[in-house]
Amino acid sequence: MFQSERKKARHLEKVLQDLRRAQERLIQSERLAVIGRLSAHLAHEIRNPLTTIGLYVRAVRKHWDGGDANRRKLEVALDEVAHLEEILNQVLDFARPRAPVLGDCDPAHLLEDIHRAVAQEAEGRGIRTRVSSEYGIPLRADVSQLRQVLLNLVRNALQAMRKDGELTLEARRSGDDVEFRVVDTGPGIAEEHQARIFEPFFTTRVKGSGLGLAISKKIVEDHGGRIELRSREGRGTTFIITQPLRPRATMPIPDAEVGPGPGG
Amino acid sequence: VGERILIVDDNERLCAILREELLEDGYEVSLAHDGRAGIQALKEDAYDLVVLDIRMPVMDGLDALGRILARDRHTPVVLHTAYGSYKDDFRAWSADAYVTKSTDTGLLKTTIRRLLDERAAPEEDS
Repeated sequence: MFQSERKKARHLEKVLQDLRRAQERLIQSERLAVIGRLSAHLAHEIRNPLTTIGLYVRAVRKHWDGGDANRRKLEVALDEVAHLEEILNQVLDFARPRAPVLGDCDPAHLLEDIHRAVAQEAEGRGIRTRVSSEYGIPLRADVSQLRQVLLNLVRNALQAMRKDGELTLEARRSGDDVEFRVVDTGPGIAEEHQARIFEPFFTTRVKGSGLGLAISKKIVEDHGGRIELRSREGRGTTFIITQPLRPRATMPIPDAEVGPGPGG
Repeated sequence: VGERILIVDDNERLCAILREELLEDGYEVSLAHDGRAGIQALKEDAYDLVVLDIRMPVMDGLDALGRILARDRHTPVVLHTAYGSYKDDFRAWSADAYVTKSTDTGLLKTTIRRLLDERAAPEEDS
């Protein structure tokens, strides 16, 4: 009798422990949900005055007649506003990721488009650029998300390189996958940083939000793909995205830019 | 040009500077600072396009959007908002375009131009 009471007590003790753990997990997920809502709310509250500041400084700059030295101060102010805007966008992307909306995506066109978007910046930094892609790879992907990922990798690469560096963008088919490579000749990523580089809020740059690569990884994984990094200090870095040509269908959501028109 | 744009936004300073920019581009611009005032303005005057904020006192932009569409389905409405997640609310889907508030007004301006041109196009054909 006494034995079986002890057994029951031990069992109840274990049930209580499980309940406590479940409760902790619930509190934790509730906390995360609150943090998500809080960051969306904060982003909204900050974006309004930030937009106003930026528009007024731009207006002052447009009609500026107070000399070059002071004009440069306005440029600095605008630069900082743009940086804050970028952080806000990234925090919102991270707090509320959206599922990919799949469409036809030509990797060769996408890389050419990205190349055009960064050509001026690359030239300004004295960096050579090269695009090499197979034509007609039949990829299904969310073009705007994939563009965001590749642009992020390319901008990181440009910022990492000095004058006379070389940036290479590649796309090729590999069986039922497509493989994108962003190759730079920059200083490489220290081995102790490589394992953490995709973690949210991890950054090696003074002005980085630490979210760019975390968002990129999330997007690639949402497409059923993976993102890898090969880097040796002093020998440059290569990011490789491998994703299936036909990702599994995801729930469609309204188009990113324009919704259905009235009556449509 | 001289097309008439109504900006409905409770942030008066933001309205003032947007108005200045759009005036420079040759538009006529009127302002209203909440949804109800926006609808009143649309009753009193004809506009070619509405730029509509979402979070406003008295009547928010999504309520106002429903009422604008109930009255008139031909005037294009651009939702112009600081929210990142406005598309979570299905009522936002019936707008003609969404533009997130930004210090670069390029996207807002090209969107306005595109919608006005699309609206004008059928008349040019006939």
